Amino acid sequence: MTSDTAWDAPLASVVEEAGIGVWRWDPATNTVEWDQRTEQLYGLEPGTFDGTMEAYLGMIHPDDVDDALELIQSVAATGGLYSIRHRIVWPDGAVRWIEGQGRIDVEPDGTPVRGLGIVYDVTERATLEHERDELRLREAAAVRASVESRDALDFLIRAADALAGSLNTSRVIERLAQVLTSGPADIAVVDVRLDEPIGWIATCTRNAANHAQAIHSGPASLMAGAAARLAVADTGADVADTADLLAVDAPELGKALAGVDAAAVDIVHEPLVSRGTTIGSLVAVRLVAPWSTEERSLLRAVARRAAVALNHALLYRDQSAVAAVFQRSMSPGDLPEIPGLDLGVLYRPATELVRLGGDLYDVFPSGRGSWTMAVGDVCGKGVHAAGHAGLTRAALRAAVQATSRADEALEVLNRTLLADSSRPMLTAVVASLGGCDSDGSRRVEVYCAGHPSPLVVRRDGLVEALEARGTMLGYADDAGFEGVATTLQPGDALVLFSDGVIDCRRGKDFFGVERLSEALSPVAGSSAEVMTSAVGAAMDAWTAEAPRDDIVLLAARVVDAA
Amino acid sequence: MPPDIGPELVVEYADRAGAADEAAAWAIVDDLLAGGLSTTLVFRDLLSAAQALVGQRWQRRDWTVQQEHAATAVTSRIIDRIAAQGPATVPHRGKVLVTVAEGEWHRVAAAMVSHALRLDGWEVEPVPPGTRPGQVASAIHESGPLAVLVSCALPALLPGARRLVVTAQDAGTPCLVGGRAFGSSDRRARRIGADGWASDIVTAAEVVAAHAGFAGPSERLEHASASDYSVVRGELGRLTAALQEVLPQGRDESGNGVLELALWLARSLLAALLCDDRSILDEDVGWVASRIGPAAVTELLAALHDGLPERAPIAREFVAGAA
Repeated sequence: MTSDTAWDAPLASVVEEAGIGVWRWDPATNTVEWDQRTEQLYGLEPGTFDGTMEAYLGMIHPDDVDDALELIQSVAATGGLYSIRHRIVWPDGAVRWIEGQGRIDVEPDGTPVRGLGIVYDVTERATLEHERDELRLREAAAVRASVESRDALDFLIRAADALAGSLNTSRVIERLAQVLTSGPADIAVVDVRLDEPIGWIATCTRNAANHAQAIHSGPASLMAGAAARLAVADTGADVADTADLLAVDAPELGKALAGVDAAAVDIVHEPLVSRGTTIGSLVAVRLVAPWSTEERSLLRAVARRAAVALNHALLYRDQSAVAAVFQRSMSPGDLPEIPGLDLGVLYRPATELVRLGGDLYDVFPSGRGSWTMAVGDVCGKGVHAAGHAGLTRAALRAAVQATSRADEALEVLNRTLLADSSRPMLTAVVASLGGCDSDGSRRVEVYCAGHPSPLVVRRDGLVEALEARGTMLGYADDAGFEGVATTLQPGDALVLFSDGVIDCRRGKDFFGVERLSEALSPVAGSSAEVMTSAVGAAMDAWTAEAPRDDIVLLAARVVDAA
Repeated sequence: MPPDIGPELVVEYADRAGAADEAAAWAIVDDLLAGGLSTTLVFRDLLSAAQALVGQRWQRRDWTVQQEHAATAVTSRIIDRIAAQGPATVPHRGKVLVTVAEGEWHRVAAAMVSHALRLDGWEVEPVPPGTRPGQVASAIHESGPLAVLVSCALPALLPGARRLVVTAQDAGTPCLVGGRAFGSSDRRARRIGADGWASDIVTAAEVVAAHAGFAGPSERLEHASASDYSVVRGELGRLTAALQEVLPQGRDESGNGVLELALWLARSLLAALLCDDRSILDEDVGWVASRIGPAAVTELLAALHDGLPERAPIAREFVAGAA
């Protein structure tokens, strides 16, 4: 991918780390441009992709190529966003799963103008899903085979239910120990040592009433004593031996083992194997009756299911770690502490699962005791828009600090966006808050770029709109911005917000500026947090509909001089 | 002998808090704590009681919204102050997540419960109001708490509590509930499928200790009105549109929006169906009647009744019965 602007660099590095490839399609020449990562994902040497659609289609798995082509053609006809998942065949014959998201822009007459998108490898996930489905089938078969044993069936269902819930590794390990001792085992030890940070051992015993009790669980390094010995116990004598040690470590376990007849103890080891790798082991101990053949096969079924659940949890852990890094690099983070100003923000992305969206906010110093506050709204939603929002925030900061004027900064940003057609348009409002005057007041100057006008909430409850005019950014090169200024007295607050607030829906009605003002007026003079909460509460009381658009509302109140 | 908290003291505290006089309100709390009263009892018998009184005063319009906000803000700061003063406890009992029902913004109860649990040795991860259930699910998977606590003040928001019960249980975690919305028995809590119910802040710690561990997956609600709940919930968009069609949009001379009140009653009806407890709707209807008069309420309930699908006979019966 060619780099058009300086601020492509941070995005490129994040994209690179996440293993994401980027491509563009130019319909005029019908050429496709891939970055090196995309070539790598397709098993190609850098620079060897020839840019033709035919070459791309030729790499798709024969069973998937028709569906892929049909999808691409239909999107190319209408334009819009699409996501795709198919297998590919590498030059060396290896089959991989590729997932991608793309966008094709078309003229009103249907002529495609450009296409761009990202791709990444999902082979592990797809394989895992396949394994899980297989396991379900096998589990279903096992369920049928043991139908005469009501207890076994109940137990298996319970175990499957129990292991299906959490995606947290230590919770899965603990749950496995718990579910075994609520079923056939007297003691269960689950020992997972994939790598040091997640080495985790859980043990559980059951009491006379057949209830699982007393889970002892912790990082493997801290459980190195008795529990670790239990985990590798091979004979009843080993188990009985551990009793004294456990009496200190884990009294309930110790009690369960006290006076045990070592000869009667039966131990089953089941490895927890996933994708060909042993990631840990499950030890199920019977203190009196030995394990029957059926019970042993039941334990194997549970161990297989547990290994899959653990693998999902590990995968989730890794993916959420990547997502968290991405989120930190893209999201605005905590508001600064500013003497004399009290800040609060309401930030509710429309996507329910990820706390990222196309709305952005920022507060940063802009020299000589003054501060800049900004709220922006990048066209689009979700992670894709969030990437642009994060970069836009950084670019706006740089532009304000370089020009030291909000209107000039907006012009710089406008030119930057126009220079790169892959950047979505955006609306923004920027406020420059002057330093504190001797009477505690602060002067504020506001510039808008196609964005809803900010509100001033006077201490006495009066709410005024600051109607600054200006065009949307990235739309036309003759953008002009007309500022509006006012003075904030102590107790007054400035409220910037995105259109997600006023466009919040209830059937055909919109929340609107009037309701927003009505929500703010009674909390005039209160802390910024109280104000943002009051707006959130007013919106939720007004409508039960889930928000369709990202929502951000940023409030700054001038604090009374002490 | 620790001091006793009588109703006069609650009124005195609420008056000072409503006047935004934090120093005076704090003086009452400080006296009680200095006299040897436990933090949880101050929470339950003074602060919770005062918040309930504040809510009543606002509902009866004895107080303005400003006074209500002022009182709540003072109480929030006082909870923080109590928490900052208390002994530093090292968590030794595992982690719990404390949040509020979806749609709920009353956070004072959750703040008190959080502090009470910390005193009891739990590590508390707070999840702020306005967090979507999907994000609560992510938080559960990431930090693996032993329980999720959900507080709910307004009965009409109980469906938002149900969503979090399902979210927590499907993530293998027990969900425990409490707050004014649940009333004075565990009935509503059981109806929404919660694993446990705390009658007040003092019992919250016991309930957590009893239920922390594993749960789930969530179970379908089997009571008869639950099917009407699903039907009406699925038709809420259409019901909203129908009410927007027939009811006046603006406000009457005393500032009441008839449509707003009708839509609130629709949510209240949903909560009543969810909990198989028509008193939820009846109470809210009574409150609406106190604002717009009985004649207007009858008209409003007729519009609500007309907008309900035939497939929800219990819902229609609830609304007809409330008229």
